[in-house]
Parts: sequence; structure tokens; C-alpha cells
Amino acid sequence: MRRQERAEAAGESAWPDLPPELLDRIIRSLSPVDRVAVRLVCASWRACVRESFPSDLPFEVPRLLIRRPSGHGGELAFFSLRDRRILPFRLPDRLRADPSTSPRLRCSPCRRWSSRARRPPVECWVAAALGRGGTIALFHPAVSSWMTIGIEEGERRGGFRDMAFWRGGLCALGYDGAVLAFRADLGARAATVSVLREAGPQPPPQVEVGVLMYLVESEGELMLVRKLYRSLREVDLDVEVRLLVSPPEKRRWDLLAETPGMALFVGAVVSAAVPVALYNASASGTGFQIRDSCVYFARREVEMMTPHAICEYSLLDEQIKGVPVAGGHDVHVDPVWITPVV
Amino acid sequence: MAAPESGDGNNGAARMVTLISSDNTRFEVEAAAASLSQTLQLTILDGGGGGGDGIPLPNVDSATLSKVLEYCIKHAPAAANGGAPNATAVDRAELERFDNEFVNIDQSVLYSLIMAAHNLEIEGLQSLVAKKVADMIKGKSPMEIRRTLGFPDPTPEEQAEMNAHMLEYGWAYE
Repeated sequence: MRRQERAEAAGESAWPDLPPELLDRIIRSLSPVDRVAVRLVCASWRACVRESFPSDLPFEVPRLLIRRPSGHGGELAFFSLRDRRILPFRLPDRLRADPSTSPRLRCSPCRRWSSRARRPPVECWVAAALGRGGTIALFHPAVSSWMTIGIEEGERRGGFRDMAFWRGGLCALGYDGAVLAFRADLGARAATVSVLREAGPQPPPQVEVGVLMYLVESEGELMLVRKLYRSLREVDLDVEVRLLVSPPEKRRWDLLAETPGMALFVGAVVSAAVPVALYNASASGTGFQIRDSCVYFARREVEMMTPHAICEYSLLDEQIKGVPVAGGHDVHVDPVWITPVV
Repeated sequence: MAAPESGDGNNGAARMVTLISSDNTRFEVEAAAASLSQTLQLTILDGGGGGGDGIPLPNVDSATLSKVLEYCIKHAPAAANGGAPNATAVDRAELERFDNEFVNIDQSVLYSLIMAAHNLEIEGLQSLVAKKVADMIKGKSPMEIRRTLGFPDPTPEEQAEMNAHMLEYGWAYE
């Protein structure tokens, strides 16, 4: 034990230099979940696992996280939209949380936010978590502490319902439809805020049933997806995609009639803009092909139409299509899109 | 005690060979035991290691070599029987007990062992240590694996990557 502790203190462990063929022997008997952990141990190990088990990851992005019906054990599982099947990737038994109740998380590579850190600014990750109560916490590994932002603004906006990293700052979407941009200095624990969008007009009360909104960042552009239900009895949705036009100070959000080459995946945990060609090229011949100018909702509102389905909404013809989740999921737990980072 | 079939004509006693560790310690072992190493087997078949010559092993220190030879001596009889189709269940259980006990050691020694087994091409020992390390990794988070295997403290970049990973996967380790 002493020897190990000394080696640890002196950083003498030789395991990072283990030849790939030996690491390959070690990980061969491990489960996919354990291999995911091994990938993160160090850079050389990650390269080796990627080489040996390219099928574990990368997940095609995004992937649907669902809870199986109780008849199927009720465990969490991944559903591949591309292959339209439940993936044989068993999540650990100790996993109990429902996907829809975990806090929203966003990560962003960033170099600006560490101005007061002891080291010179480096490219690294900043993470933000949106709690159930609508508070936002930022985490910067170089500072190694959490910082909450936007508490006062959040109160004024009825809390925040979504957020996205955009151009080095964090944008938050209030329940009133306002979009705020925060610029935080984690070292100084201070943030400045500017308004990117004023509170949206309330829908006419006679038709209002429900509104859901999502922020999507894509290649430096910021989009707002708004979904309005006219009725709960039949499928009657209005979907709007708006793009923040440069310069952002003008607060102009143009309605998009299409998103050429891109499909939008929106959900309670992660929203993403996905290049259609890239996604479809990696699908096998019989795989599911996504369409551009479509919004894919993970939520199960479409159960009104097809039980256990993902909703595909086309901006071009305003048509809704259900994409069945083969094998089914527990309808009491909302599925979410996730984009694992490994 | 099994005499090697490819003996040097000396039929009475088992043929012995001498191995020399990187720190110049000499080990005298039966050729049958040393031949569990594919590398050494070739040298021994060529007639090396006998007499006063000795086979130098510049990559293996004496502590590791004595551990490796402990394994080889224990496994030589079964190996000589060609996977031991006539071995009794008792013999197999005894070997298994020995193996379990044998790898119940510090991670740094496990590392030296698997490297030596790799260099000397001792198939059984490589598998044994690999399985042990896999068992040590199972169910652990990246940080726990690093601690278990005595990795140095992560660099800020590695820490950032692990933090990002834990944000996505943290729930898997609760």
C-alpha cells in the first residue's frame, strides 16, 4: 500500500503507457457501460477503446432515452431512431432517475470564462445546469466551483424553461418567452445580462391549450422553437422556428420557412440541429432517414395519434408524422434526446 | 515432475536453464517451466540457457521475474499434459485457488507482471492478470479507476473531460 501511495504522489503509475494490445485484453470482458468509463480514464486509453470497440460509441446524435414499459422490466434504454430499434446497451441497475426529471445540462467548449483563474485561459469545458426550480448553475472545471446566475431575472420571468450556450455566453429562455444572454466571469463570480428577446405575446386565451419552447444553438446561430397546441383532443399543433438575426441588439427574430440541410431535434434535456446529409450517410441502407426542414419532438404528445411515437413536424408542408418507437416505452415517462459526450 | 520431451539427452534429471534478470540476479529453473514463455521456449529449443551461459532478460527485474517463475513452476505440470485432459477436478481447483491468490497483489506489481508476461509471451499469465484488472475496473467511474490503478492526479484538461463526462453520465455512478 505504501508503495502505491508513494507512486501516486510522485505520479509514477505506468498504466497510461500500457500497450494497446494489453488494454484490449482487459476491456474485452467488460460491459459497454464499463468501457465508456475506461474511455475517460486518459487519452491513450480512450484511443485504444475507440479502436477496439467503435460500435459502443459514438452514439449517433441525438439518441432517444426512454423508460421501458413495466412488462419489459421498466428499465431505461436507448432507442436508435436511425435503426429504429431498442439498443442492446443495458444501463446499470443502480440507475433509477427518470430521464425527464434530471436537470437540464449544457456543456460548451470555452476559453473566455476563466479570466481570473490562476492559469492562463485555456480551451476547456463550461457546463450549465438548469434546476427544476428554474435556477441556473454554471460550472467551470478550472475554477472548480458552481455559481448560480440569473436568480432575480428568473423570478421576473417566471423561471427559466430552457437554455443554450451561444457565442461564448449562456442564453436562457424565460417562461414568459423572453430570451436573456448571460456573460459570466466565474473567477469574479459575476455575470452581466442583456435581453435578446422580449416576453412573447400571449396566445389568445380561447385557443390556448399549451405552449412549449426550446432554444437551439447551431453553428453560431440561435433559434427558438415554439410549439403551440390548439387542442388536446386531436392533433392540432402550430410549430414555429425563429432565428435571431444579426446584430443581436436589434432583437429581431425571423420566422423560418425552412432549415435547409438541417433537422432540429428538440426535447427536455438536449436540443440540437443535425446536418441531415451527415446523419443519413452514416445510416445503413435500410436505416431511418431524417428529413431536412423537420423538427423532431421527443415528447409523447403524438400518442394522441400513434402511441409510443416520436413526432416529426415538417416546416415545409406543416404536416405531422409519427415515427413509432418500436418496442414501446412507458408513456408516463417522457423520452428525451441525449447527446453523450465521449 | 515432468521431464521436457525435447531434452538434451540427459534422461535422469529434468533439464535446468538459467535466467538473468535486469538487475543481474540469476534464477535456475526447469526448462519445462521456463518454456511456458513462448520467447524462452525458442531459445531453449536452440540449446540456450544451459551450462553457465544463462539467458539475459533485460526487461524484467528480479522481483518480477521471481513472481513470474512462481507462476510458471505451478503451471508447468498442467501445461506439459497438453491442457491436462487427465487432470483431476482437485488439481484444477487447486490451480484456480493458486491463481486467485497469486493476483491478489498491489496494482503496481500487476503492471510489472502483465508487462513481463507480455514480453515473455506467457499466454496464461497475461489472461490471468488482464482478468484481474478487468475485475478491478468493473462498476467504477473514470476517477475511481484512476485511483484504483494509482494514476497521477489528472491534468486540468483530463479533469475537464471527466467533469463533462460525469455531467452526462454521472447518474450512472450514483
